[in-house]
Amino acid sequence: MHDERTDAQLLAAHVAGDRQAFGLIVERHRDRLWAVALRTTGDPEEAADALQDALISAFRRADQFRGDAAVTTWLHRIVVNACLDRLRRRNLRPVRPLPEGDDPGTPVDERDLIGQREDQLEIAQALAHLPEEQREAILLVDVEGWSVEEAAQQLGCPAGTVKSRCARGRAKLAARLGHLRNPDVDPDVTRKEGGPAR
Amino acid sequence: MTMSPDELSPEADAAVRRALHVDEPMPPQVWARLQAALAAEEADQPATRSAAAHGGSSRWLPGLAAAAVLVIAGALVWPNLHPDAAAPVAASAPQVATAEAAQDGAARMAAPVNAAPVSPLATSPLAVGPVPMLESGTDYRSGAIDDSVIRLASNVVPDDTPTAGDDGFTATAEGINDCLGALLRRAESPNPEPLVIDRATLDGLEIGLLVLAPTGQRYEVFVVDLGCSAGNPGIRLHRWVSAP
Repeated sequence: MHDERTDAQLLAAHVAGDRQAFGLIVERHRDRLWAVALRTTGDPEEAADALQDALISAFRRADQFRGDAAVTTWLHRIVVNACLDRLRRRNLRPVRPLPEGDDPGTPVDERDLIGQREDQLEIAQALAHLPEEQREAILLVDVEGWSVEEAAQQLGCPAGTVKSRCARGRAKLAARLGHLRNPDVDPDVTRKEGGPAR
Repeated sequence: MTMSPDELSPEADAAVRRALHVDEPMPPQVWARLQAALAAEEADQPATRSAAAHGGSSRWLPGLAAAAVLVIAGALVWPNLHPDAAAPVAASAPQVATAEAAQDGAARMAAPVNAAPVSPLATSPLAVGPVPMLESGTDYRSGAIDDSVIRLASNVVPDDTPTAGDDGFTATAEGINDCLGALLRRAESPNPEPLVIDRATLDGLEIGLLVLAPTGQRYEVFVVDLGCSAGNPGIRLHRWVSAP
């Protein structure tokens, strides 16, 4: 359903009792919200659960939105926080081991899937370890697909700041995830010559 | 020139960006689940949101109180205005089992639930009649639930067990009645009648799956947590499935 109203106008309408308004905001941004939840949790089921938690929370707290950031940024933060909460709870729980991918009895496709899932979980863990500002910039630009300028506008900071946060965050991620991209190479060789290990 | 420790080569930078990129839209079943959850939230909390919206200003309180009265009155009157929705499923209502369950003999069919009569003034449950209960052992998959629902709805066999499992809403007639009442109030079918409940799993997680009697060639389906109750149905999925 197309609606000309801005996100902020829709949120205000939701607070005023418009029963369709909040759903329209979510529908407008659902793929980006899904991307950030999936990337931040590393698991589709956890992502769906976290998104539901986050959206219900946003639905209830909409009146607390003060307009000092874009609605998308506000929603994004609620989703990320819900995902990180789940990640923390998951880390507190005993880990249920994934099936052994090296088991010769495991079909190749299944081993690939297991490997992919492990990669996704490692990316999620690495993102969770980034400083908040860097994670936020990376999620907006690299995961959600906003341009640097758009992300800067949403965050209320200069584009150069977003760029440098992204660059620093990616460097930290590369240090953690390099072995996933190329298991035979030490992660640090992906750095430019002269760069220290961390 | 010495590079900053925070810089990556362009190739490494691109590799990290590729690893981060998510190139898949939200799956339809996730979207359906979120829509259902938001709709349920909307149905549950209209007055609360209004109160928060107006910062608790006392000048709104009389209006809010009136609105709350209207909401409660509507909830009480609704079943009476929609007798079909609350009508018991006929004793001859079809009972079903999945094809998978029929194959492995794991299905445990249930007889109609003899739900206790519900007072017109009861606040939560609708007067839900007997509902075929199944514990098929099926692990439904999010990406292929439509075919499974069609199989479920197309295979009808009798049984005599009213509940399913030792815990969750399916374990007692009261729990089933409460959960059904909450779901039927959220149903989009013009005359929602439960066709079957299957205590099963969805992607490995324990759930209850409710299929409503078909509307035209389509079945309305709810997947809920086993904790489904009158106040919090815990809807994980709500969708329509077209019969082939």
